[in-house]
Amino acid sequence: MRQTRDTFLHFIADNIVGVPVHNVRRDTSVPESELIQLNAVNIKFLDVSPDVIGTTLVDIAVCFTEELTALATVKKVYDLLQSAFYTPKKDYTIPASPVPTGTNIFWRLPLQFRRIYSDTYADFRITLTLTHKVDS
Amino acid sequence: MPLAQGILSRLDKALNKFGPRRMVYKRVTTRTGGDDLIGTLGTQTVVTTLLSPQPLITRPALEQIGSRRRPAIFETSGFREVAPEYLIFVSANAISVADLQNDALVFVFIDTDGSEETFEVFDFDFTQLQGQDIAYTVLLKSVKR
Repeated sequence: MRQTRDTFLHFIADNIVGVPVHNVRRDTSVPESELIQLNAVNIKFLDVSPDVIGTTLVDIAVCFTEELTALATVKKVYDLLQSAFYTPKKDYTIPASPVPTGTNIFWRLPLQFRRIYSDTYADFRITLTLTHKVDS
Repeated sequence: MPLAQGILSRLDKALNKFGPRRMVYKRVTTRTGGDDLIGTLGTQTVVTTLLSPQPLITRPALEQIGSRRRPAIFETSGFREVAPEYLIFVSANAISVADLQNDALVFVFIDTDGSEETFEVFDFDFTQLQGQDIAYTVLLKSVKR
C-alpha cells in the first residue's frame, strides 16, 4: 500500500509540469500537510483494502483561485490519467533511486471531475480506485 | 537609547523575573535527502534553542455555554477560527518574524520532570513602538504530547 501511494504520487508529480502536487496526509512533523493547498493538485488517499489484489481509494482535488487555470490543470490531469490507465509500481525506499517491483497499479473509467462549489476558489475533484497487488 | 529599545529592555527584565515551572524552547527541524511528497524523512537535523528571555504563557479562557464549556475562539489573519491551547507573549529579542513564519519551527514546553509538549504556530500578532517590534503574541496549537 505504501508503494502504491508513493508510485501514484510520483506518477502525477513527475508528469504534470509547472503545477505543484501536494499529498494531503496527517503528519505531526509537518502539520500543514493535512491542509488542502491552493493553486495545486492535492492528492488524498482514502479507503484501503489490503487483499491479495488490493484497492486504494484516492481523491484528487484540483484547487485554484482562478477557475480557468483550474480547468487547464484538470485537462492536464485527465490527459495523464487516460494516457495508459496504469503505471508500473515502484519502491521509493530510496527516493532518488526508485526500484520497479514488477507489478502495476491500475485505474478505470469513468474519469469524471466533480465541481465542489466555494466562494473563494475553484475546486474540481475526482475519486479513483487504484487496483494493485499488495506490497509483500 | 531610543524609546522602543528602552521599553524592550525593561520588558525583558520583567519577563526574566518570573521563575518558570516549564521552559519554552524553539525547535527547528531541517531535512535533507528525503522526499516531502511521499513523506520520506531523509536526514533530520533538529536544533532546539531555549528562548531568552522566557515568554509569558497564558491559557485562553474557557467559555461557559449552557452546560458545556468550550475554549475561546480566535479569528486569525486568514479569517480562520481557531481554538489555541496557549497564548505566549514573547520578546522580540527572543524570536524574530522570520522564525515565526518558518514552517519548520515549533515551540516546545519542557517541564521540570522532563515531559515535553510540542506546539505549532496558529498565528501571531506584533506589538510595535516607533516602527520597532517589541513583542509578539503567538497562538499555539498542541501537536504532540
